[in-house]
Amino acid sequence: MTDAAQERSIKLLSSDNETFQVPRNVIRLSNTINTLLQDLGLDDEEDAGDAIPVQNVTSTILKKVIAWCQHHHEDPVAADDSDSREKRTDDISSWDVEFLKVDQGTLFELILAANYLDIKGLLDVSCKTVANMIKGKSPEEIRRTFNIKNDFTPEEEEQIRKENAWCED
Amino acid sequence: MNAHSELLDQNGYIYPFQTSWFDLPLEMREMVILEMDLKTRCNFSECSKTCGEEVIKIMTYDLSVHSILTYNSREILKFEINHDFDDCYVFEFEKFKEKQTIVRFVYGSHTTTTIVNEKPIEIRTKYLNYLFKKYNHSICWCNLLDQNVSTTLSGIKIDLLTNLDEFELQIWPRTLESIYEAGIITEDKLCQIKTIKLDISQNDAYKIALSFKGNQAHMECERTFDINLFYQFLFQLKNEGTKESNSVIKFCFDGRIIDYSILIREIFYFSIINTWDEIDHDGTICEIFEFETETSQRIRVIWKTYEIDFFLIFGSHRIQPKDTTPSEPKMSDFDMNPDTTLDSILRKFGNDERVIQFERSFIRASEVELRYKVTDLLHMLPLLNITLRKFHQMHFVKIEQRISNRLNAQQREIFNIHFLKVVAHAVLGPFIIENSRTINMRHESFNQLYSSFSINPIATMNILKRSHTLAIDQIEIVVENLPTCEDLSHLKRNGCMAKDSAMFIYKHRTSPTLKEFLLQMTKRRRKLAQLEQEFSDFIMPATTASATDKTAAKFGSTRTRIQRLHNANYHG
Repeated sequence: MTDAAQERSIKLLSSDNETFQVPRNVIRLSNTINTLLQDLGLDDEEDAGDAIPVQNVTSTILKKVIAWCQHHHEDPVAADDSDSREKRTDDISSWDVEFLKVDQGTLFELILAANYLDIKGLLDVSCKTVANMIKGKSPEEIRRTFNIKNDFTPEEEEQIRKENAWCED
Repeated sequence: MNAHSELLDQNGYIYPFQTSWFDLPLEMREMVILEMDLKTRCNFSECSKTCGEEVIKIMTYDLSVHSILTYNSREILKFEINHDFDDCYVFEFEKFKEKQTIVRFVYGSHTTTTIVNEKPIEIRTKYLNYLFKKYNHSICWCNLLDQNVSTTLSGIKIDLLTNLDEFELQIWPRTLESIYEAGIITEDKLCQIKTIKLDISQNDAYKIALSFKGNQAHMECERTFDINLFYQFLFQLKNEGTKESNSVIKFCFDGRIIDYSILIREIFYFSIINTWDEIDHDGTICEIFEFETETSQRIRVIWKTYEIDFFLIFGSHRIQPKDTTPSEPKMSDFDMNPDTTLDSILRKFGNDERVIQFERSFIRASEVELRYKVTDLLHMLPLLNITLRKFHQMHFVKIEQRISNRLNAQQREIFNIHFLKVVAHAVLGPFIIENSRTINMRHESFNQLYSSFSINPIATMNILKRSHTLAIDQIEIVVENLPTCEDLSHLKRNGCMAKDSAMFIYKHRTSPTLKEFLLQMTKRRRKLAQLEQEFSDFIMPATTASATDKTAAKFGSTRTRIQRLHNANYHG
C-alpha cells in the first residue's frame, strides 16, 4: 500500500447501517478489509467508493474495533511467531486492559468482530481477557460467570472431579 | 440468544447474562481455552459435559497441532497432522532430547507426533495419566520411554496391555528369558517378524519392539539381562525368522530411528549395542547405519561428524581407521557356536591366569615395586577392555577394587593414583600431551585402542565419567590436556575423531561440577607431585613439553585452544 493510499480513508458500514470513516492506515490492521481492498483493486483508488459493509458487526462494536485499531495502528508489526510463543495471559497492556473492561456480551462481540475482520492483535488480547476471567475460578464460579448450565448428574460430577484430580495435586 | 440463558441449574442459580459462553462459535471458544493453562482447563471441563468434551478435544489439538508447529520440523522424525479427533489415541511417548518428550497420537492409521517440551515432567505425567484414563480402553499400544513417565504409569501399562489381542498381550514379559523360554514366540510368529526396534536410550532397560506384519509387540528387558538369552533369541530369529533377505531393522536412539537393511542371517546386534552403550548419546548421535554387502559383513556407522566401520565379529567389534583397507573377516568369526558367546569369552578372560598372577604379585609388591606393577596394567588392557564391556558401570572400578581392597592404606593410595593415571594414559592417550613417554604411549595406545582393543576414547571417557571414582581424574586430564591441532588432524585423517570432540571436552570444562573436578584435581596433583618427587628415581624421566603445550595445559588458555582446535576441525 502506498503512502498516499494510507493517508486516504475508507467507509465502513456496520450491520445497523451506521457509516464510519476510517483512515486506511488504521484499518490496515484488519486483514479482511485489506484483502478486500486489494482484491477489488481499490487499494490505490483515491476514493474507495461506497462504504464497505461489515455485516456481522454492530456500530457499537465497530466503533470499539476502530478505536482499538487507532490506538495500535502504529505498533511495530509483530513477528509471526504466535505458535512458538509461550502461552501467557499476563502480558496484556494496561491500555488494552482498560479498553476491554466492558460487559461480557461486548467482550464476546469484540472477539467475534476481531475474528471476522481478522485483527489478530485484538483477537489475541480479547481471548486472553476471557481466559483471565476463567483462571483461578472454581467450576461453579466459571458456570456463574459464563452462564453455563451444569448438566452433570451428581455422580458424573463426582467422577469428572476425580478424573481431573491430577491437576489439583 | 443462546439456549442456555435463563436456565436454572441443579443448584438453582439463575444466570443473569444475556450472552453466554456458548454464543461464541466453537472456534472462538477453542481460542480462549488454548490461552489457559492445564489446571484452568480442567476446572473448565468440570463445568458441563460440553465443556469437558471441548477441553479434551482442544487439549489434544493443542498438543498435536500447535506444539508440533512450533517445533523445528527438521528435528522431528515424522508427523502428520490430522484434525479428526474422533478416533484419537495416545500412542507412544519417546524421549526425544533433554527435557522433551515425543508424543505420538494415532488417529486410525494416521500418526501424529508432537513434542511436549513446554510442560514440566510433573504436568506431563499428570496429563498422561489423565489421557490414559480418559481413553482407557482405546489405547492400543504404548511405549513409554521417558523414564519418569514410565515409572509413574507402570501400573497403567498392564491395563493397557489387557486391551491388546491375545498375541500381543502375551509378549510383554519383563525379560527376554520369559519370552523365549515360555515359547511365546513360536516359529510361525518368528517367520512373520518384519521389524525390530531396539531402544537403548533409557538408562536401565532395553526396549525392543517387534512388528509382526501389521501387528506390533513390545518387549522390555533389564539391561542386565542374560546376554546368552538374547543371543539365543536372535539366533532363533536368524534361523527361524524372516525368510526375506531384506528385513527392516529400526534402531532408535534418543528418539531418532535409524532404518537400515540387514540380512538377518547374521547376528551382530551386540556389536552395536555395546558400542552405543558406551557413547554419549547427547554428544554423538548416529545418523545412518548401513550395510555394505552381505559378504563384507560390515556395518558403517556414520555419526554426525565421523564414520566408524564395525566389523561383524560376534561379541566384539573392531573399529578400523577409515582409510585402512580392513582385512576381510573370516567366517569363523561369525561362528554361532554357543561356546563362543561373549559370556564364555568373558569368563575365559576373567579367570585368565595373567590376571590372577598380576593380582598376586601386586599384593606382594613393595611400595617401590608398586609403581612398576601399576604400569603393567597397560598390558592388561585387553582384559580391561573386555571387562569394560561386561560390567558397564562397574568395569574399571571393579578391577580397581579387586586389587585395592587387598592393599594397606599407603599401598592403596599409590595404587589409586597410578591406576588412574595409567588408565587415563592408556585409554585417553590421544588426548594427553605430557611428556615423551606419554606421547609414545599415546601412539601405542592409539594403535591398541583402535586396532586391537576396539576402545573408543570418547566412549571410554563417558564410561569413566559414569564410574565415579575414576571420572573425576579422567575429566581432569581431558580438561587440562587438550589435544593439539596435529593430534586432532591425525585422528581425523584416520577417521577416528569426532569433529566435536573439542566441544565435548569443553562441555565438561564448563559443567557445573567443574569446581568439584578442579578441587579433586588439585588434591590429586599435589599428592602425585609429592609421590613423584619421593620416587623420582623410579619414574621414567619426563621430557620437556613444548612451550605451547605447557601453556595449553594451563586453564587460562584452555578456552582459546578449544576455539582454535574447534575451528581447525571445522575449517580444515
